[in-house]
Amino acid sequence: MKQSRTNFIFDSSNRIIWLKLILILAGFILTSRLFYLQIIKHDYYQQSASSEHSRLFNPSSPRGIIYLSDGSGTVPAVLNVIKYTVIADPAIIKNADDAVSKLSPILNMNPDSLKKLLISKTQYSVLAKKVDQVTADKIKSLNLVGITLQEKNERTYPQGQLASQVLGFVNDDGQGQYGVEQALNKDLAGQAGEVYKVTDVNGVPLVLGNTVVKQKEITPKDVTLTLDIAMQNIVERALREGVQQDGATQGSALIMDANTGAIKAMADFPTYDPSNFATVSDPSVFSNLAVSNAWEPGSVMKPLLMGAAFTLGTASPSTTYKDTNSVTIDGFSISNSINWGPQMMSLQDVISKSLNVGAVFVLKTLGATPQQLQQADYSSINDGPITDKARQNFYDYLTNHYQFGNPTNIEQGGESSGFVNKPNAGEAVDLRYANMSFGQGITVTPIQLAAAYAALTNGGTYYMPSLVQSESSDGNVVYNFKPQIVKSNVVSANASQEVRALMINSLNANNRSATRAGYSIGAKSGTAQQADGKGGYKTNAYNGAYVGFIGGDNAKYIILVRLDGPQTSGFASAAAAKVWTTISNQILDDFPIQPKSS
Amino acid sequence: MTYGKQISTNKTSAYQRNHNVVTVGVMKTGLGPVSNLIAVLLIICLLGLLYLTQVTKTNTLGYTINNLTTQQQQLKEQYASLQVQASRQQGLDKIQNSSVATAMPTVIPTATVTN
Repeated sequence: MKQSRTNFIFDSSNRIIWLKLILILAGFILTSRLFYLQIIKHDYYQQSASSEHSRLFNPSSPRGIIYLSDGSGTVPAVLNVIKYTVIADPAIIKNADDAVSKLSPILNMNPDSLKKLLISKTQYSVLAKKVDQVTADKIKSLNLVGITLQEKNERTYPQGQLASQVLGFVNDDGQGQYGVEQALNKDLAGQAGEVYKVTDVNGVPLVLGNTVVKQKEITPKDVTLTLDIAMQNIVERALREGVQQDGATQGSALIMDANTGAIKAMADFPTYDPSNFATVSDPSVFSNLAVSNAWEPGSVMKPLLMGAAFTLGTASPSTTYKDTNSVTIDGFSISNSINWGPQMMSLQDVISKSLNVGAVFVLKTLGATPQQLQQADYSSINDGPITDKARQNFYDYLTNHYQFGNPTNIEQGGESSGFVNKPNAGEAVDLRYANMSFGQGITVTPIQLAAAYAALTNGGTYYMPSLVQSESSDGNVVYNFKPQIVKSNVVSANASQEVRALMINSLNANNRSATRAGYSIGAKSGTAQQADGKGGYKTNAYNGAYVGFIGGDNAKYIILVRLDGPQTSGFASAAAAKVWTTISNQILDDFPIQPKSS
Repeated sequence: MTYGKQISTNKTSAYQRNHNVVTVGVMKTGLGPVSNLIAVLLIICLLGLLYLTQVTKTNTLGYTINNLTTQQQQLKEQYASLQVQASRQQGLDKIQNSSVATAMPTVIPTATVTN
């Protein structure tokens, strides 16, 4: 049996069969291996092969430039500049003393501290940051082994601190922070591309090589703001002087085009230098007060209340009421800031003398029945309660007409919505609404207030406030500012005209230095107690505001000034009025505003 | 295609008088297979040479393009740097604090024009 098996194996004809089997097996193994390498591991080896002769390129452009308007032209406000980081690799520096003697005078560094960095036990030591081109060229010319320069685009601000809160800044990670830089970060930053190109050994792309575009570059956009550099300068200077002279803790001012919503100037004080944002000790100065800081505006709310009453037909400029200097709501007494004695007052008096009792009366009229409105002296309304209907109507005007409680969506980071009490929420709701009628117990941002005043005085159209005049990419304009109407018929055209007249008379009575022959100029002051953050108010701490319009037959610009905690005698609003008047007079002097036709 | 002439003698008709004993015939001839192969190889070599020349030329142009791109980038950076310098010179602070501006007399309006 054993014999026959040996014969079977070594038999010449069987050996051929064996050889065939071995060859088939070898062929199968080879084919399997090839299948594994070429099919299963295809991507891996293709990538591996590509990495030998392909390189990743990230085409990118510097962040978009921000311009300010200058009449019909533009002026750069934010540009890019190349700065260098000087890096040392101590592991390959052979003569540290030589490097120290050459670098310390160029970098203006202490030789001992520089040497410590150069002999440290690391392979990456940052010697200096934000080094300019001239210094970088000097370092390059030294040809020091182990010293390299890393290039980085940094923001630079040719106009210094001008409009710093509106502009914002860019942090070390390249992200826009605050202001336009934050709001338009995507447009300004663009997106770097991702392109693989076949290169030679030096990394130079070959024209005939295969190019694979994984991500196309999105070119950053340049942005032109509606801010007018001259107006901005006027506003910033007037605000700075006002805050410093009157000892206010902070202030904010802005100019808005009443008929488009375009912001022509927007400033805060204290301010900061955006090119040195890292050295700022109080980060609250980064925020744009006009947009991010809602506050109780005080009596500047009264013309808005009048606009609602005139439109609803519950009151008119000829309406009079008996003012007893105080009114009791929910057991609390509300009184005028000055005791004029009990007498009949007109709604012009409510604005000119800033009567809180009068504001509560107008609020009551919003809920009056037709029978009550027929009475000549409005006594049943004046002596009656603040009805649910009155609260509902006022709330409707505040939120749906004047858009309080909603962000304006202006192109700024960190916008606040403000707060409006609901008409039936919480206790003492009548008292809350009585306070709201003269601007306490409600918070709004200056930009919300300016936009509401624009609608109140331009005939009733609420425009979305905007800071962007245009955007361009590679020199082509991709966006041009068009006024966006948020709501029409905010107030009736007639009511708008009547409120304008009340404001003009108020300014003529209280602020003669702001009047100008041939022009329509009207304004309203507001002084409000500062909230203590515990649900109450601070004693002897007030905020002042002054809001108004300038123009000819129609309101052209809305000017708003807010000063927090001015240390002046009298009303806090008087300090704001001074700043407002300076701005108003200079705008009328320097800019072409159509005067009244008659 | 090439053609050749062949002279042949027609023995059967050689006895006939007044008849040409020489006929002229045209025969199709060509290169042999080796010659053809050599010719094809030559053409392939020529085409290869042409391709290599063009590839080299194009890649040289690629280096030129690369240099021009680098130059363009440098000029852009230079432009940006000059734009920064120009803007700084025209900055409001710079103008307000300039010797020319500080030497200007302050003008106070003495009257207001009304119409």
